[in-house]
Amino acid sequence: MLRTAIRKTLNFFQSKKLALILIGLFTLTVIIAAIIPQPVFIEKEEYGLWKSNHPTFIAFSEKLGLTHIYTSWWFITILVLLFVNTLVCNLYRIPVVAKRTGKFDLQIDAEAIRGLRNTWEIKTKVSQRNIGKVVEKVLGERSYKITYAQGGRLIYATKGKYGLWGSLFFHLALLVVIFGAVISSAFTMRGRILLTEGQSLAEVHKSYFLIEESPLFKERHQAFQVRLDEFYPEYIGTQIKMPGSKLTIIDENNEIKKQTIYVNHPLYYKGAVIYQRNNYGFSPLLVISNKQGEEIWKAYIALAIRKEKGVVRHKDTITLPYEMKAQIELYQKKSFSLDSSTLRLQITKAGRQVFNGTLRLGDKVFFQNNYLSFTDVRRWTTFNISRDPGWPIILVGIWLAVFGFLARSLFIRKRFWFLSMKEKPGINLIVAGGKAESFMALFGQEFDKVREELDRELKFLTFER
Amino acid sequence: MVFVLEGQMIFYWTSVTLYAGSFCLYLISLVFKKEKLLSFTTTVVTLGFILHALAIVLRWVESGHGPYIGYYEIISSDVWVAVAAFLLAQVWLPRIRAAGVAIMPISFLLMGIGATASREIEPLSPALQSYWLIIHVSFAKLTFGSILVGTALGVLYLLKKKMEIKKDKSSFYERMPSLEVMDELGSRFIIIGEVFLTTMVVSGAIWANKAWGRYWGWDPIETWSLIAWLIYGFYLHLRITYNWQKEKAAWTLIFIIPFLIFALLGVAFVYNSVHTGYISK
Repeated sequence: MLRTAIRKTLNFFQSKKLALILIGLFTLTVIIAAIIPQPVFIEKEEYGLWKSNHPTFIAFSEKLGLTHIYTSWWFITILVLLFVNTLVCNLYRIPVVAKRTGKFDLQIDAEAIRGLRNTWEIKTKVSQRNIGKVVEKVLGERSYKITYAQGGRLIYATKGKYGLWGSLFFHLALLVVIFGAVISSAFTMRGRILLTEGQSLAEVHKSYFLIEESPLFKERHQAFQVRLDEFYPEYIGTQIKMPGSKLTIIDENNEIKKQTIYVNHPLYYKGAVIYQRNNYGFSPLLVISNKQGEEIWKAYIALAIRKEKGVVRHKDTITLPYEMKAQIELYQKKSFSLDSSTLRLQITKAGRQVFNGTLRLGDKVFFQNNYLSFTDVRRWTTFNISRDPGWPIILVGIWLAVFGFLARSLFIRKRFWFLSMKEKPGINLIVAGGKAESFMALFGQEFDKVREELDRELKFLTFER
Repeated sequence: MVFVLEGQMIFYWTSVTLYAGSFCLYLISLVFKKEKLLSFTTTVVTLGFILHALAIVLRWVESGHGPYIGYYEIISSDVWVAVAAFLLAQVWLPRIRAAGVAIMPISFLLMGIGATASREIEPLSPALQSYWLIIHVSFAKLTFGSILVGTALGVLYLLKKKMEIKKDKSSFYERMPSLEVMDELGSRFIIIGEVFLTTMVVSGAIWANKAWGRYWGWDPIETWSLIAWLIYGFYLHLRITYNWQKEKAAWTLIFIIPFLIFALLGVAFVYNSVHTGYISK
């Protein structure tokens, strides 16, 4: 009973018709997802625009679950079925391909050769040994491998034998890619950190201001420190410039690695990859000290970047000691030099304004019985950090798939058989035939050329037809 | 610099004219079965191809980078690779030259669209300064070239088949390769095109992972490239598993090529994509 059920299930999954249906369904689904906007992959504003421009269409799509296709249960079901189908189909094909690459070709008889699509017969006085030499010359030049069998009566020439494995290899490699993608979606972590020059942060959950963790990642952070030594706003490029950052990796109190990273040049450490993002801002250093000059509070404040009426502004609201709140905005001269920085400050305490003024770099003001000084300004930038154990598997799968596909396309198994038989004393009858695994008509052209060449060579050695 | 700019446009438009003229000549030779005219047309295409190459070289000199940015550069170089693939295929099998009747109209029409795009020089952004760009873009162009030639062979197959049905035994069509050979040759170009398409998608994914930290983000161009890959994969499965060959295969190729053209050139027109900035300038 159980065996029958298993056999039936396997038969169902080894169906090539099922493969076609699933590929068709998968393609159709991806086309739908490319037409109907998927909010996960586009900006909120863009989706909002879609919604307001096509309210009925989007409402209808949302109702049918077509706005979250890639996470829908039916899309995942199609993928799982496709995976199982590809796996079963190809497992079933392994013994078939193995058998086809076997030595059964050498037991062929004259009748079987005559039954092939491309055949030809010739009577010749040339000895079996010399026929072999001629075949070796003509087909050897075309990279065929020659084998003798049946006591030297059969000459068998073949090439592209391993091309038979190409398709199988390609499909199995695709399964490796899918497996890698599953690992990737289960164990990946992607996050974003912000660092001001000179600052370091540990690679732990709380350091990220944005983080996505896959269900099985389980907080496996590496806890090494990343320090931003220096930031270069225009590190690379001539006309279009992009930023770069000099980073130091500190692990167990040792400086392990120093590297300047920029676009296309990330830093790799302990399975994590650190990427430079294309944004930066300013972090002014504010110090509050008492009348005796003792520092009470000190911090670099990474000011947010806001676009207001098309103008980029560096401003933020922060909490200061003694329950004070400050609104800070940084201005710079057109040269963008850090030395030209000026801070506009509005400080309130319990809703009452206690300071409103401008501080230039190096300025110190007295307020609320303390001194407030603006002593330094540095740049901040952000980095993407990701850990994806599935990616190496995907990469291996991808290259194996390309290799398999190439083998399938470039190496097509082609075979020639030449069977010599004694027609009468001194005369040999050669029954020749050829077969290709695919592209039979194109092989037919090759077969005709080989026949012409062999004819010419045999005639050269003289013989009677 | 003025010479470079003017020379480039003179070569560009002359090649467009020659490609358009060759299309007319292909039509005349097919309708009136003029074998000699077909040979002359190949010479016209070759001349257009050489001038087209000069236009691309001058643009390269002018911009200081390969033809990667903006519709003008991309379409021009894509078409050039397709014409190169067609001419190379003729070296292998000269009797398929009438397939130009399907390649040349697409070529000159696309070049016409390319000419309407901005020709302003766009500098190469540091994000594009990677050897992956050359791999990724080259394979996109090779994909277009191979699949266009494969599809053109499908068109030629249908023309010859029609003549056979009409019992037209003129030597003009007789001298073309047999229907079976054309069918197989076309599918070989599609298989090679699918290998190139796979390499294009894969190299794009590897590069995206290196540049952005993610290999796949369902960006519209990524998605449409995957769709094109799946569609041609579906075609190959149909062909291998269900013997979907000859006329059915030829019609399928004609029906599906718009998906590839859209994936390679059309998506940036319609969607906001990470590629849009580079392609649609």
